[in-house]
Order: sequence, then structure tokens, then C-alpha cells
Amino acid sequence: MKKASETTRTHLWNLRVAASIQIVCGLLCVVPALKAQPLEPRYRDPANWLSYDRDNTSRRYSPLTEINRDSIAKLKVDWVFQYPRLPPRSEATPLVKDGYMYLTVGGEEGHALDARNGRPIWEFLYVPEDADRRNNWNRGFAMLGDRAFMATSDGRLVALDARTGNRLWTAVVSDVEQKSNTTGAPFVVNDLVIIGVRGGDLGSLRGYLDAYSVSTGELVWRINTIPAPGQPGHETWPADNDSWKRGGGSTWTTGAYDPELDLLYWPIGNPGPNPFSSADRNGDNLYTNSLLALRPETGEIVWHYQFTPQDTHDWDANETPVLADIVIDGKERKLVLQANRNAFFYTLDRATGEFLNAAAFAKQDWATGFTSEGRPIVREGTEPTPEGVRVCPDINGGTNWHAPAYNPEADLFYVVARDHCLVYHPTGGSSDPADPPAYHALRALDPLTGAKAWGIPLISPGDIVHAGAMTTAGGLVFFSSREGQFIAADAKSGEVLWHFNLGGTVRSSPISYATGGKQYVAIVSKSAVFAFALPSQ
Amino acid sequence: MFRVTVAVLIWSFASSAATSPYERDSQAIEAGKQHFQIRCSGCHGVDARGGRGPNLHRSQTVAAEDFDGLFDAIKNGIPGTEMVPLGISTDHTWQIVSYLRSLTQPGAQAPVEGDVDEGRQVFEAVGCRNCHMIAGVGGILGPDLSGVGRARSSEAIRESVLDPSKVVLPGFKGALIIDQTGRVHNGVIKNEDNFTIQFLTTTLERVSLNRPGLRAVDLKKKSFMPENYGRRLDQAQLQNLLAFLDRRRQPTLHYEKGFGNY
Repeated sequence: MKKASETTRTHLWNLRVAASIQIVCGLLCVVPALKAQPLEPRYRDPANWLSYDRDNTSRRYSPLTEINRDSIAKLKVDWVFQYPRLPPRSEATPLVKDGYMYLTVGGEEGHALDARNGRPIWEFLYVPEDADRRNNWNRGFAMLGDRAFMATSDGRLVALDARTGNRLWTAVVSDVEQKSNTTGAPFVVNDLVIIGVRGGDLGSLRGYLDAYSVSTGELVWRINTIPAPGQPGHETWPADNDSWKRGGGSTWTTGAYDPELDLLYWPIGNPGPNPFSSADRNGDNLYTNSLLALRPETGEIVWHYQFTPQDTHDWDANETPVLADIVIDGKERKLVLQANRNAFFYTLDRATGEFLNAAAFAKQDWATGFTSEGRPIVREGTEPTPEGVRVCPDINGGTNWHAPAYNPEADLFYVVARDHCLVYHPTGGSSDPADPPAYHALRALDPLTGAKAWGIPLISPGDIVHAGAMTTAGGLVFFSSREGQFIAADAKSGEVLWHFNLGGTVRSSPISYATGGKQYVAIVSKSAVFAFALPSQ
Repeated sequence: MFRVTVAVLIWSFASSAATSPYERDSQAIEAGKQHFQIRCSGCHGVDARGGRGPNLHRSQTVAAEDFDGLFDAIKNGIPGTEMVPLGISTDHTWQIVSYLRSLTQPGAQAPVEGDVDEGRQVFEAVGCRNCHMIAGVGGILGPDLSGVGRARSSEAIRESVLDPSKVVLPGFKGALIIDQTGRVHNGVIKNEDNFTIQFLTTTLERVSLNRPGLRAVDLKKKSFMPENYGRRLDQAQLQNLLAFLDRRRQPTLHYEKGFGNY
């Protein structure tokens, strides 16, 4: 595998960022520790968590330091909010802006809470217009100013006044015939709210990504992730059938944005109509299982990189693209990092899409290496057969949609990884009884080489873990087991420092925020959101 | 003011939709009416046209094709709202369902008469939008009125226009608070408990207060809503305004106050 040069790496200073942090910071953060990344101005207040992955870099990195290695032993529950209704799954990340928390509970309910004490301010209950097609799980709000945006269980996007929960507008995103729906957290770029769709596995979706006006809810652009005849990339689909019309390529997770390059990064899902057989879709099947870099104003595709061409293992690339600026060989490189479903961790140049490195971070046996352009060299005999063929990773992948994180001081990328294999058939997969059960661990990876620095096993009787990570300038990384063991470790060494049993399933990722002069860490669990803080002086 | 209300949720079940054993059974409808008077009228009004609870003549749940949502709401309550389960038997629940269904037959409650477009002009001209939002446009100091025609009885809406201080909803009760630093906050209490108050000022600033040490908490007896609309509007303008408000029927459920998490 091609490796990036292993010479001195440093991080960029951004004095503008440091200066603005100083103004709002007080005791809560250490100005010199804030490494430069192209943070948009509205994300610079360290007290806030304004987007699903905190900000446009999607690093899930909080600049707050009050909770740190030395103080974490005293971290305790500060308040709890129990949802009035249990959703089928609690996958949301709450947002916090200026001391108020905004949380979705499933796709039909939103709450605003006083983030100092968990007291409810307002509740929004959505009545689905399309009750037959409810997909009642949801990953959270997006915000801009006093507006909060959420996807609904029946494939709409609603805008709410964040102060009162009044509904401002409703946009219809999903297409009934294509069986798409909206489960992801939307993402705000400039004056647009971006939302993707799920349904790529259901055999009838031609995937798309939408941009709506923040103020009116009008659709500004929609791009299809499967190119039509005449569009670049269509040649990777057969010319003699119309499988491309049901080619999958869903867009249901949340991307990232670089304001200096003016590029929106969005990960794309696996191909259809059959995820496990490419019999009628011979070809690379662009842009499935790719990362797209788009012009946010128009949705124009500037570059793409495909992780798994002609996929037959359901290895959606719907994992978070994380932006990091690292100096390699004395030169500043703008990078995008992704721990992919296919068990490889990728380092790409985010200005050009140039492939820099890929390294396995979880058990895999499908690729033996990569060409210098980054095309995987696929081992013989990994195509699903009627008798079944065992391949690693399984369809849950080396990781899945749950959030990774990147800590610029520790210079480590954190991913909750899974080691498991599956016997693949053209109709799906089955476990090999001889295989050990799935093994999960939080792994810390070098962002340039993908080398594993350390791992913390996640021990839990349950199988799939869809609980992700968050990291702070206090030198900590927070993550959970499936059953709700909420854990903090030293971000550099991986030493486990603290834990708390939440007592309910966690299928989401933590946040950190500050209000009233105090730092909090919050995590959504099956029936409640918990906020932790140090005892008041 | 309008307390924003409940009972417009539709729940879909894994099992097939139930059918009422008493549909169009006039004895069951009469029995259901009696049960309703005893168990439900306290919140929904003697004639089911609303009170603390919404106007059931306009309820989407009541009028829905299948009965599951309505049956479930009565039998099991609606979690997180004041519609708590009341321990009504299955049989009585079906009778109440039959009674309520009979209310939503065409003609059961006629729309409020008046010129809706003229009423919209009145709404704009006397400044209602300064405090009230409809369909995403307007102010936030008062309740969102996008669904008021569904949520409240016509009488309650009329009363709120003419005598706004008679009923002020939780989440909109005014107060003047002087905090620990001597700063004065004038606005409405969104939520409160023994230790904290969540407040929205008349300048639309949200304030989170600790109770211990507050220098003053003066609850206002009057609503922030002007009390003189009865004098400012002539009969025709008032009627047109009520017709306009009656047609505001967006089904979203929406609590603009911290609820008690029942």
C-alpha cells in the first residue's frame, strides 16, 4: 500500500481563530491548544455544538478543557431528561447553542431544553402526512441562527423557530415511488440546508442529495448520485439495461464543508438494485460507495473518489468524512479522512481527491493492496456465490454510520471498529458458525498511515455497536458500549479514566458544550439524554 | 390565551386496524356520550368542542379512516401530554369512539361564518402578527396560531380575542423578575420548578434563572395581549377575524411551554 512520507508533521496555526477564541473563552479553554482547521466563524464559540459532528470539519472535537485528565475522576451526572415517548431507536446527537439544547427523539418529536439543568422549554410533535411510510429514527437537528431543521419520519424536512418550536416551513424530500426516506441529520452550508435520503438497499432508489433554502424551504438543487446517460460516470453502468435507474447511492449520513476551498463533502451509499450481485450492473457503478466533493451553491461535482467499485458486499460508504490539516514533508496538506465500511481507513487530499493512503483498521480479506491511484486490488474469489463465500468484513462493516472523531493535539483518529466476517450469497449473508462472534473496539489510528496506536475493546453481549466517539482539547475521548457503558479515555494513550453505566442502549455519539461557566458532556441513550459535569465550586 | 393542545396524533400499529363493534349503533352512541360527559368533558367541553383539551369536532384522530388511533388515545392516553389513561374499559372506549365519530359527520360543526380574506386583513392590520405566528410568519411572544382552529373551540377563540386575560396558557404567563444582580426581566415564564425558571423576555431574549436569591418574581394578572380588541373591531371585523382563525387547521402538536412530562 502506498504510504504518505513519514517526515515531520506539524499543525497549522490560525491566528484569526485563536484571537476569536480568546474573546469568548474565559477559563474554559486553552487558546494555544486550538489547532488551525478551516472552521467557519459561526462554529468558533467553544461553548456551542452547532451541527451533528459539531462543526463543518466534522471532527467531533470540542475545544473545551475544564474536564480533563486531572479533573475527570469527579465527573458526575448533572441532569437527565427522559423522553415522553420511547422512539424505536435513539440515534440522535443533540445540538447546544447559547445554553439551550435541541434534540430530536425519533423523526416525529423535537425538544428544546435549558442546557444548564435539562428543563424543557418546548416540544414539537410532528404528525406524519404519510403514515404508511414512517421510518421513525432520526439523527438530529441542524441549526442556523434561530432556525432548527429536522428530517421527519415520513421524508419531509421541517424548519422550526428554535426559540419556541413554531414550524416555519415544510419541504417534501423523499419520493414515495423510490421508497426513499430521511433519517440523517441535515447539514447547513451558507444559506442552504443539505439533506440526503436512505433506501439504497431497497431495490428502487436512484439516490439523490438535496439543498433547500434556509429561509423559504424551496429546493435549490438536487443532484442524483447515479449519473444519467450523457453525464460523466454513466459509462460505469451497462448501456443495455436500466439498472442505473435503481442504482442506489443513498446519502443518509452527514458530510463536511471546507469554506476556503468551498467544497461540500458527502459520502454515498452502495449500489442497487441488488446489493449482493452485480450481474445486471457490471461496471464500477459510480458514484456508489464514493466520497463526492461538491460546489455547495450548485451541487456540481468537483471530484469523486470511489472506495469500493462494483460492490457486492453492501459496503456503504456512508461514514463521516473528517477534515484535518496536517503538514507533510514541510507542506500544508488539506486532508479528508474516512474510516470506511470496507474496513480500510483512507487519507485523501480534500482539494483534489488525490489518494494518499489506505490501511486496514479492521479485519478484512477482500483487498490485497491499492494502485497508486487508489483503486483497490481485489482478491480473487470474493464475489458472492449461491453456495456462499466467506469474506471479511461482514455487511455491518469494519465500521458503520456511527461517528468517528479526530483530536488534533493527540493527532489521532478514533473509530469504533468491528471485526467480523460473513458468508455472502447473491441474496444476502449468513454467519459462519465456525467464526468467533463479532468483536468491537475503539481504535486510535494515525491519520496519515492508518497505523493503530491503541485499541480499547468494547465488551457487551449485544452484537452491533452503532455508538460513536467524541474528543476534546481536555485530552479525552468519550465513547460507549452498545448497552450504555459510557467511557472516557486519555486521548493520547488510550488509558481508560472514567465510566458510567447509563443503563440503556446507546446508538449515538456524545457531545460537549458549556454554559453558565461550566463544561458538560452529554450523551443520548435509549430513553433519556444525560448531561455530566464537574461538581460546582 | 391559547393553550396548545393534544389529541391529533395518529399512531400506526403493527396489527391490522380494529373496527368498532358499535359503528352507527345509536344506543352505543348515546352510551358513549354519557361516558364522555363523565370522563372527558372536563377537558374537552360538554359538547366536545374543546376546553383545556382540543376541539374534537375538528380532530384528525377522530375523523381518521381507521379507529386505532382514536381507540388508543382514549384507552391508553397520549404519553407526554395531559391526556393520561383514565382506566376506561374496552367496551366503554368503543362507545366513546362511536359517539365521537358521530360528531365528525358532515354538518356536525359548521365552519365559523365570515369572510376569511377580510379576516386575514384584520389579523394583519391590528398587529396580531407582532406576537403570533401563522405558517412560519409572525412573532413568538404569543402562541403559534397555525392550528388554532383545530386546537380550540370557536368560543374559546372568541373569548381570547375579546377577553385575553381570562385564560392565559402555561408558557405565556407574564412576570416581572428582578434577578440576583438586580437586572430586571419582563416577559413570560416558559417553565419553572423549585430551583429554576426558564424565561422569555418581551425583547425575545431567553433567560435561564436560578430561583434562590431572586429579588422579585411578580406574576402578572393580565395577559400581554391587548384587551381592547372588542372596542377596536366592529362586529363585522370581529366575525371575519374569527372565521379566518377558524380555518387555521395545521395538525402539528406543539407545546410552547415546558410540559410536566406526565
